[in-house]
Amino acid sequence: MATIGAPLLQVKESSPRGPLERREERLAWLMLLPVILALLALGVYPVLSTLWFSFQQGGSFGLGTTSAGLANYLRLLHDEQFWSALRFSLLYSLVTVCGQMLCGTALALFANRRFRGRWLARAAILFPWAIPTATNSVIWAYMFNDQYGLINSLLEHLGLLNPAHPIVWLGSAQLATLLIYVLAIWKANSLVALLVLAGLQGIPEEVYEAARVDGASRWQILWRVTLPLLRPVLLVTLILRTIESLQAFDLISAFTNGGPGNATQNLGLYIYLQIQQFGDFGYGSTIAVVLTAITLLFIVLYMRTLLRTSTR
Amino acid sequence: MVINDDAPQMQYVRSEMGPAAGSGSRLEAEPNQVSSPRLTRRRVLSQGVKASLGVTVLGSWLAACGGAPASTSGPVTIQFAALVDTTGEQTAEIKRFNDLHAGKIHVDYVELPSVATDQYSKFVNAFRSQSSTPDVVQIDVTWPAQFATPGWLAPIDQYVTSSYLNQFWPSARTVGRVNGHLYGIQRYMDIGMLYYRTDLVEKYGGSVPQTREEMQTLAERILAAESSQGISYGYLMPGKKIEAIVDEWLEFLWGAGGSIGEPGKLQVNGALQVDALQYMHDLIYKFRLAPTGTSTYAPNDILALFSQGKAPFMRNWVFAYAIANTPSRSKVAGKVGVAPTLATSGHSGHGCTGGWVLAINANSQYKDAAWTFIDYLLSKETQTSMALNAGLIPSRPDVVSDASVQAKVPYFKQIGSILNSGQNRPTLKNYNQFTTPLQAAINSVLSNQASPSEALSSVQTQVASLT
Amino acid sequence: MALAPTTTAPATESSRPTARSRAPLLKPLTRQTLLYLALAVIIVVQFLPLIWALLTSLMTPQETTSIPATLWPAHPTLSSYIEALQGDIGRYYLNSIIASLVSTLVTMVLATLAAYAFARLRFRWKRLALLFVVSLSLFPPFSQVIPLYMMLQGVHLIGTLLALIIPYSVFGLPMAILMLMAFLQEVPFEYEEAAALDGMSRLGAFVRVVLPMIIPGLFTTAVIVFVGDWNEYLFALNYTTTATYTLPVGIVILSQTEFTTNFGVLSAAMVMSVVPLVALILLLERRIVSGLTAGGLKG
Repeated sequence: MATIGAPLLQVKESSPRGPLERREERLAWLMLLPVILALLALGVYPVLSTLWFSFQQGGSFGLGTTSAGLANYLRLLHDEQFWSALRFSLLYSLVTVCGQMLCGTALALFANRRFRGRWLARAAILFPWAIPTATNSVIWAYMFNDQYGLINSLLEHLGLLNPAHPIVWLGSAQLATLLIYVLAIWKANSLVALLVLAGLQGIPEEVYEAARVDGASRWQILWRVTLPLLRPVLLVTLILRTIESLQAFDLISAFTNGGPGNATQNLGLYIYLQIQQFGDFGYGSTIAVVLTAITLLFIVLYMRTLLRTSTR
Repeated sequence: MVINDDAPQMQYVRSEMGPAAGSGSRLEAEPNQVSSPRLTRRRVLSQGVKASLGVTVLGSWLAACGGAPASTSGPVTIQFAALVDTTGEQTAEIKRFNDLHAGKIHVDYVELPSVATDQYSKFVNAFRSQSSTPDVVQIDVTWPAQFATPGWLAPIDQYVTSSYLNQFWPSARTVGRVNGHLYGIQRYMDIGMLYYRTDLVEKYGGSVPQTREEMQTLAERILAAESSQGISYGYLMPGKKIEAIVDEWLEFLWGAGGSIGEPGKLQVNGALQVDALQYMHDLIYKFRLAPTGTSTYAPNDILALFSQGKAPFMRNWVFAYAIANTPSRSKVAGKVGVAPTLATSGHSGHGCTGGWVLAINANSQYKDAAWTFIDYLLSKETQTSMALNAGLIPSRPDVVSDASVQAKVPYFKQIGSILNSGQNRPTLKNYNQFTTPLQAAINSVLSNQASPSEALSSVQTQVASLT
Repeated sequence: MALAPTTTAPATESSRPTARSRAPLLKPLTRQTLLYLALAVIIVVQFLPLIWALLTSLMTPQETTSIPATLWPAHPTLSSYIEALQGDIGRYYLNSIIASLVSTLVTMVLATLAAYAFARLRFRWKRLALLFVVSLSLFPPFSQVIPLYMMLQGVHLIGTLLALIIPYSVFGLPMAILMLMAFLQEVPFEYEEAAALDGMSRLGAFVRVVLPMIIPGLFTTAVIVFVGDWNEYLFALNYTTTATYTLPVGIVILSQTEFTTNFGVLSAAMVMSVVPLVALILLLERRIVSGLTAGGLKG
């Protein structure tokens, strides 16, 4: 519990004693006050209502529900769709977050070099991410349409595809899943790259010089100097990407809408379906609570692992 | 929606909103007052931003709380929420109404994104929170039961007589009937139809196919002979995970003399039901008449194929007719005919009906004005204009059969009989819980992930007891 | 077009006389080539949808769905742009800018204060406070659409831009705080100690010493928060109305009818929404980063 939140790596608690410490504490709470008030005002009610509804059942759109005890949670156990959505969410999160971290870091290291045309690399980093997610998914679905899509047409021009047998990209569970991974990595490696780039800019030039004087190779500098110094930024990035990937919605809903069948339905789509389309607040909220718990678990796990490696 | 109007309107709203504001929820209406499409930059910055930010809303709210004098003279403003219309007809009809009722009723158009689930979500949010706006809603034919059951729609029984109702197609006047009350009347009709290439059908066999077998025989013949002319497929149907695949499956089922039964005891996994889905699968993988990409196609995807001359037959909604017959957008313009959907021998085809229904928000403060507007939209004159300018099928047979209208929209000559044979989807207060699993099941069959009987049986347990 | 530098840059290298004699001398050449090759690949991969959208936006409606796909518009036309402009894209744009800009400002101010407290100050219950802040970002937003709607409706804000600004400002906080904390932790404590020796107060050191040091981080965080708000769909769909729709919703309204998608208009709207945004961010970045280095030199 104490390990929630990335920068806790360096967060230390102490009980202030003297007047200086007390002034520091007062200042801290003053600086925190607006955030805490804002979150209390807006964030707490929806969360409490989600928790409350997870113990309610029946009704329509949350009106006229009755107490359910743990019924909703027990229902999860026998709900095949929930388990398949959970499986999809976890795999999606694993694959895309890894992909984003790798591609994003590589992109940032690349764009941090000095060369002519670097602004192009920077624009390339920003671009995918600046398109509204839903619009972007529609464009991708358009590009991967098997009849009038760009991709099949390019493959045909290159002689790699027989026009009579187009590849139906979104018609098979495996291909659709793969494409969602690609799309998700492409769309959000920007965020990783941006954060890492900002982190790189914060590393003083002297550090590199010292390493070079010690005769370290480029590779050694990367592994022994750059990446360790980036650890706080990488950790925060990892946490942010994990949260967001577990909560993915727009990207998939506008791309495959969970299809074919329910092959690409994740927990986000399933929750939205239960709450906004079926009006089943009880069950939808229950899944939301489970999703939240899973996210929390992941973050704790990250913190533990990274804390261990950092103290080694 | 004219630029010069927005300042005075806002003024008016502020004074006229007095009584409404007392009860609160009306105020969100206000930003619409600045929704004129061609704002100049200066105006946007000065007026629009302020209003958009809610400053004036808060202002008027505070004024109302401070006991602003309630005045009852002057026009009432009602909000009409309907999906976006790109033809301009919607705006024109509203403008005519506003001119007609100047000083009494003013209608504001809230355009909604066309994605059905998005609209559904917006309506539910407004209704659920007892919002008094929008006053008039245009909702999908499967929504009246869903919205009327929790008490979100106002009954309109007092506004209509039976002779008034008899002006509309039977399904248009019954679609809004829920638990013995009438909650809405359909504004325009939609129906699944068989589109065919008149030239090819004539060349290879003569009569328009009515049964699955007739279609197959003809399609195979055409496909074999015309493949050099660009014909690549025999039959096109939407197969994406959307509402249309449920409708199409229902059509195959109805065309074989089957049905899914009554609410409370629905059956989707009987022999005929499974057979209908098996047939859809066979069209793709056994007869190879439908493209392998069918499971990813929405109605506009197959229309692209059809209008580029890739296939002789297509199941689609009414919208496809105008596009397929527009020379600038279609290579087959003028060679497109429509017929009822396919049946099995001994039965007749029944298209699945669709379209949009006009209804009144139960919390609307201006129900009479709302009805006046609905009555106007349903009038013969307005419906004629809608048919001619927006290409939609009126819910009034007298417009469809009007000779001057038919002269401009020739297929209205056939649409009457197609509409008469149409069938409605089940009226369920939980319709979404019926269609969503079915969409996924049918789509999983069309993408070869499950067998028809497996897929439908897994849905059966979920939908059997829905009401 | 992106390949132009590839051909020019290595040319200067290859003129070196001893290019073949020793590996280290060959290295700069191959490295340059590889660098620009990588740049070319990155550009193609990252820009492909934009390039395709650009081409599509210039096509006639018929070309956008021709089979097989038209790769190059035969009769380039601006009609899609005109259609998007005649629709209300200007207003959607303005709404998006106002909503995202105001929320980003609010988020950044509040988050910077909180992040500093979390990263730098000692106080009791810090972990609990941080847990509270972070845990609120863990609840999926789509389970909160309706409860939030009720709250905003309760204060009569539904339909106004404040109905977006308020949730955006608040829900961006946890993310922004975490990011800013990471950047703050990169700054060595010695700087503040030195400032304290100079007689600066804690707050003074924060504003005048620490903040300038994390300007790249501040800028990045602001960009991430801004673009997050800019692209948000669910709240924007549910809490707005005709006058206050933002770009993501507006693009759907402009390009989709009940059964058809106008890919030309969709692409034009996408190009118009993205290109100025990216250009602006790049421009600001250059300004700010150069401003930073200048300040560093003076100091």
